[in-house]
This record gives sequence, structure tokens and C-alpha cells, in this order.
Amino acid sequence: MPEAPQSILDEILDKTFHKLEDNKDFNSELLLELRKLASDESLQDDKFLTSILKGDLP
Amino acid sequence: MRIQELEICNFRGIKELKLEPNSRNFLISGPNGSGKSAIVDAVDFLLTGDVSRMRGPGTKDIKLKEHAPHIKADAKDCWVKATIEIPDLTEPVEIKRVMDKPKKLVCDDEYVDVLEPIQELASRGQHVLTRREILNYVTADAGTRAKQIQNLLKINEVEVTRKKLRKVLNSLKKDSQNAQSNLNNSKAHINSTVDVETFNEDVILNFVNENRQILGAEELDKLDSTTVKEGVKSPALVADDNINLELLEKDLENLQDTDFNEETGLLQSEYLELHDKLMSDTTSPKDRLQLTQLGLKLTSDTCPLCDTPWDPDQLQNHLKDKLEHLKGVESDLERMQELSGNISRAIKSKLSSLAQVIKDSSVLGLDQEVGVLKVYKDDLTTIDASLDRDEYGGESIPLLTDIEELGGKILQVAVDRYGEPSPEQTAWDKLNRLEENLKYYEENLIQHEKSKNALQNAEILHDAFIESRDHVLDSLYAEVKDRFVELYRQLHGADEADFDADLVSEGAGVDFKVKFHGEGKHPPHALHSEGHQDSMGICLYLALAERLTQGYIDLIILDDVMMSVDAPHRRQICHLLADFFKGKQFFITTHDQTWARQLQSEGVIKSKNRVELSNWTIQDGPRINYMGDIWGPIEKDLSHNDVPSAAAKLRRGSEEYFGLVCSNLQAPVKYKFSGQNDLGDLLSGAQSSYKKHLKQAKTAARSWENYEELAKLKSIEDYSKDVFGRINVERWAVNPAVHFNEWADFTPQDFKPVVDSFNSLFSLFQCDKCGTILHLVTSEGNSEAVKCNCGSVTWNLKNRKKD
Repeated sequence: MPEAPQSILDEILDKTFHKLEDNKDFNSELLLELRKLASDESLQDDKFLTSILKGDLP
Repeated sequence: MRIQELEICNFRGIKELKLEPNSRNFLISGPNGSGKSAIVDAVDFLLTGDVSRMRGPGTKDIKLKEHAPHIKADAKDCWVKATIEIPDLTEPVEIKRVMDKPKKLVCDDEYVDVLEPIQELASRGQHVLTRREILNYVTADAGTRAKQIQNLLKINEVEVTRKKLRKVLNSLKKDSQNAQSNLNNSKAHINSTVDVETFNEDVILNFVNENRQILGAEELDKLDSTTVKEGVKSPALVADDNINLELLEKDLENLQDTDFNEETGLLQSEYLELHDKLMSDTTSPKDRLQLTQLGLKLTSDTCPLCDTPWDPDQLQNHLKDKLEHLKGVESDLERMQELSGNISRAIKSKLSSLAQVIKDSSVLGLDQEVGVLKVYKDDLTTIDASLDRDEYGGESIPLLTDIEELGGKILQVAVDRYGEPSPEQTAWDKLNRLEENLKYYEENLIQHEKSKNALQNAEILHDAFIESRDHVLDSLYAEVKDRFVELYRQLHGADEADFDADLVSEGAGVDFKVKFHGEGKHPPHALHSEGHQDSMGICLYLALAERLTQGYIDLIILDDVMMSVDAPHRRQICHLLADFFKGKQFFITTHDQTWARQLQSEGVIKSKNRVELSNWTIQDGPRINYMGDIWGPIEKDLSHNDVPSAAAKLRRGSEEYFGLVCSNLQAPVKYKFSGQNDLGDLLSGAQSSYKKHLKQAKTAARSWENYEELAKLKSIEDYSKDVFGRINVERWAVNPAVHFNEWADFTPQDFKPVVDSFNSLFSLFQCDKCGTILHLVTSEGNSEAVKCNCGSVTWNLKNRKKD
């Protein structure tokens, strides 16, 4: 049996990240961190997300 | 995945229970509090290691390990086990989950990979629909319906993520505003040092070079805090606590500036007048302006506030008219913005000088004056902060009335102590102060840039998420919508033949509109009855569950979802489940006995696949009555010489069966307030109704000159007369046999003919092919036919019209 299909949220996030990749105004260095955050299901941790967007995390 | 066997031990309200659905639909009926939902929870626990009903609002103090096991049971003795059928696997798979290790699904190693996607999908919960979700959906008001639809579709985590992204965006917006305010402050400090009104880097560079020239240093071509004093030799007298009289004098002049009082006074009074005008208007024009501007952005064919349907152009024009009326308010607000900007700049400049005078006064040891100036500084800072936060209410700008006297004293003490400074000393002091100002400015510039970039990234992320969400959900809704319409039309037949719906994402929610009998599309609660909304919720859910769990979890759990749907439409729901979801296994719980019987009589549930829960006790859990095929268990009782048990089963089964027959054939039954009809009433009603419809069918066949049908009906009539005759002889035996009356102490041989008579009677009302109980079809109150579900039995009751 193949892997479970993506959840609706994962599908949306995947699409979101593709859009960010194509947007030259978005800081591409943040993408990796955001993807990691999404895969840990912690994108809903707003403090962590704020820190990433501000570039405060290593 | 479908369930063949399910075993539950010490879980929630259940002590021990074994069910054998054999991969087919299964029905669990029983009154409220009898333990039905515990079975649903057990399946939930088995597949996910959690119980979703024990999560969410109002469940803070509920702990899985503490509250899921049956009373006093140890976690290791609390478990759920199942044998499941998985497509592509020839052998069934046994899985088990024990409460002491809820995260671990126990199974053979070879099946771990195959079970992973099933567990992943189960954790999303899209295979379970509960009564609460349908109820929330039906009773939702216009404002929360979109959210309830998302809950119904189990995609609320999308909305949770959107809200978090919005929260992050707002927080970064605030950061950016603060950074902008700090940057303005630092510019004001520089302007004050340079003694200009407007920030201009060329002017500042000139200022630096003028003072460097006095000190004999080279001209700079770039403004930078690290090079302002590069190559400059400090005058010999410079000390850390030195005060430059020229600069102090300039700061004092700025503080004593009478123009400030006059100018800010004028600005403040004009601002106050406009502010009071807006505030005294009880119609809240500022809020209405913002709302109308936002409304114009969100218009479609419904009002974004109350969901009332509108013609889009008409709504746009309506809002534009409103905006036109609010033009004056808009212009007042713009003027207030301008005024507050001017007041803010003046105060920031004053604060910059004030900070320097306080610092110098401290060096001079003028503690009393420092105290007075600090109070003034705090008052000005309060106004400044309210201006930065856009919360200024036109309060008076504080004044320091005896500033001239105070300033004079500070200057005199400074002159007495330090004397007039040399031009070199003044130039050095100016460069020193500017260096400090520039450092502060550069730091703020970096922060401002950083916060601007963070805000831009957050805006791009938020917008990309919204666009992606709309795209993904619209595709999903488009796929689901057609199936939803198909199911709903099937459910409501000719009544809703032209039914259609719109299902598109709108803002944070879902724009859901349905066609109402050629009267256009409206929100479901606008014109449709509660029962129709109820069935819409079910159809919407079924369409979505089918799309999202396809090929993985073929199990759909309907936990007590039937409420406002009337009897004829319930029959249609049965058809829907039986005919449109052949590949699915439904687990259905209900407290409604009529619905339970209907599910059985309409062939959704095989007679073996039903249990009834009752008489729940805290120690033993529910009493479980296996409601399967009664003939097998009766045979078994008779083989054990247990006639009373066989008779009890026959009586109970017959009451159940003929209750359903009477309901299907709309038979007249003597009304009883308790709702408990005895078998005699039900048998009489069923028989008389059967005879009446058969007679009517014969008359109709004659009118159509359909002699073949007439012969068939006559043969049925002859057979039924024989069956009714036998049953009228034997039926008396059922009740006495239950109670061991001395005069009716039957042997199994005596009771066997009674059982056979009832068996023949049951078969009269049932189709040989599809097994469903015959039902009366009516139209506008007139009887049209008696039919089974597959159409093999069809007695036409309508006579041919005479020419």
C-alpha cells in the first residue's frame, strides 16, 4: 500500500512553499527553516515562527 | 481497511464485548448512556492511540490513561483488538492496542508498513461523523456556519494555521511600527543637535565637516558614526563630565521656545475639535468608514457581514453610496493624521533637548531641577507614545510654565562652573554628541530594516498560504460538490430534482449556497428546513469522507447522526448508504429504534450485524442483545429443550419485525400512549393492511386487463390465506410458553409448528431476492404501489382511468 495521501493542510503548505520559492522578494534562506517547522507540525507555534521570520534563529 | 472482528476489554463503559461485523455494515443501537459511543471511541483508540472525544474544548482535566479504562481496570488490562481486512492482502490482519502503551499498535512486523498510512489517515478523523458535528452545523448561525462546515469537513487545522500566521503578521507589523517610531526619535535627536527641522544626511555631513574643520581634521565624504571623530584631536580640557555651554544654551532655547506652545496648542485644539466631532457621533462614523471600505473589498453576491444574498453590482453600489456619505469623515481622519504627525515631530524634538538638559543638570548636581524636568519629560513621553500608537485623544500638550527661570538657573550654574568654552571645545562637544546620536540612529536603522524585511516575509508567507488554501480547498470543494449534489438529489428524489449548490472557499470560511426550488441559491439555513439541512450535512460529509479516505479506510462511522430527517427521507438515506457506498463499511450507532429497524429492513444492515445495548451498569457495562437472525438462535434453544427462551426470542423478534412491517405498509395500529404495542395489535394491523393492498392490487390489475399479474396476485392471496390461517391457530402459543404456565408446558416438538408458522408469515412481507420488507409507495396521499427495494415485488395499486 502506498504512503497515505497528504492531509489538506500539508497540501496547502506544500503549495505555499512552492510559491515562496518562486517569489524573489522572499528570503529563500528562511524556506528550509519553515519546511522543518511544518514537518514538525509546529508551524502553529507563533513565537517560533516569528523568530524565524525575524532571522533570530540559527 | 474494514473490520471483520472487534474485541473490546475494559474500555470506557464497556467491560467485555466482541462484535463480528465480517467486513460488513454494523449497527449498534440503544438508549442514551448505554455505551454506544464507547464502541466508537474504542475503534478510534485502536486506529489512532487516542480518543478524539477526550480532546478539545472542555476536556482539560480529562486524561486518556486515567479516564479511558473501565472503572478500576488497570491500563494493561484495557485494550481493543480487531481483525481487519486490507485490500491487496489475502489474509486478514490482527491488530491490538493496549492502554499502558497507547502509542504502539501491536501487530506482526510484516504489516507495520502497510498499517502506517491507515493510522496516519485515521489520525485525521475524517472517517467519523458525530451527532455533535451535525448538530453544530445545523444550529450554526450565519456568522459561524463557515467554521462549522470546516469542522464538519475536519479541516479546521487549516483555519488554526491561518490564524497563527495572521497573529505573527500582526505582531511583526507592530514591531515594524515600533522600529519606525524609534528611528524617528533618533532622527529627531540628530536634528536637534544639528539644529535643523528636517532630517537630511547631506546637511548632517556638512555639520560634521564644519566642526571637523574647526578641529583641523580632514573633510569626510560619508556619514558614519565610527568616522565622525576620526583623526580629530580632543581639546585638552575635555573631561567626561564636561558641559558645553553653547550646546546647553541651544537645548535650553529649544525648551523655552514659546513658538512650541503656540504651534502645538493650535495643532492640538484643531485635532481635539475633529476628535470630539467623531466621538460625539453615536453612529461611530470612523468604524463605519473602515467597515464599509473593508466590505467593498469583500463583496461578492452576499453581504460579508450577515450572508444576506445581494446582486453583486447592487451591493457594490450600495457600499459606494455609503462611502460617499462618509467622505467628510474620511477627510477629517486624514487631517487628524496630518496634525498628529506635526505634533509628534515637535514633541520628539523637545524630548531630545530635554534629555540633554536633564543629563547636564545631573552633572551640575541640580537635583531639584532634574526632578521637575523628569516629570515634564514623563508627561511629554506619555503624549508621544499615544501619538505613536494612534491612540491620541487630543489631550493638551503639557507645558513647563517656569522653564525660563529654571533654564536661567541651570545655565548660570554651568557658566559659573565651566566658563565660556573655546570654539574647538564646542566643535568637539558637537561631534561627540552627534557621534552618540548617529550610533543610536544606525542601530535603529538596522532594526528598522530587519523588522521591515521580517514583515515583508510574513506578508508574503501569509498571502502565499491564503492563495494556496483557496486553490487547494476550491479544487477539493469542486470535486466534492458534484458528489454532494448527486447524493442530495438521490435523497430527496423528485422534490429536489433541480437541486444544485455552490461550494467555494471565501475568506477564512466556506461559501456554501444551495438552490431552493428555482428561487436562486441561498445559504442552507435561509430557506431549507432543519431536516433538509441535516441531510445536507450528512451528504456533504459522505462526499468528503469518500474523497479523503478512498482506498485506505473503507470504514465510515456515523455516530448517532440521524435527527431531524423524516421517515421517508430516512429510507432514502438507507438507499444512499446501500447503493452509493458499496465499497464502504458503515459502523452506525443510534438511539432511535425506528431508524435502527429501517436500516435493517432496507438491507443496509444484515440481521446478524446488529447489537442492541441496554441496562448499562457501572460494574458490568451495557447488556448486549445480539439482534441477529432470530431463527438460528431459536433452533438452538429448541435443540437444548429451552422452549421459554425460544418463545421469548420469537415474541421479541416478531414485535420488532411487525412493528417495522406496520410502519412500511402504513398499517392502522391501535394507538398507545406508551408507544409499546403488543404483538397482537401489530399482527392484526400487518395482516389487514396486507389483505387490503393485495385486494387493491387485484382490482388495479383487472382495470388494466393484466390477467397474468392478476393470476400471480391470486396465487399470492391463496398462499397468504393459508399462512394467516395457520398463524391464527398458533399465535396464542407464544405468550403462555414464555411463562411456563402449567397448562402450556410445551416440548420442542410442540413448539416447532409455531416457529414454522411465524417463519412463513415473516416471508410473506419480505422479498425473496433482496430480503427487504415490502413498503407502500404513496404520492400526494394516494397509495400507488407496494414494492420491495430491488423492484422484484411491485404491486401496482392505481386503477386505469376510465375513458
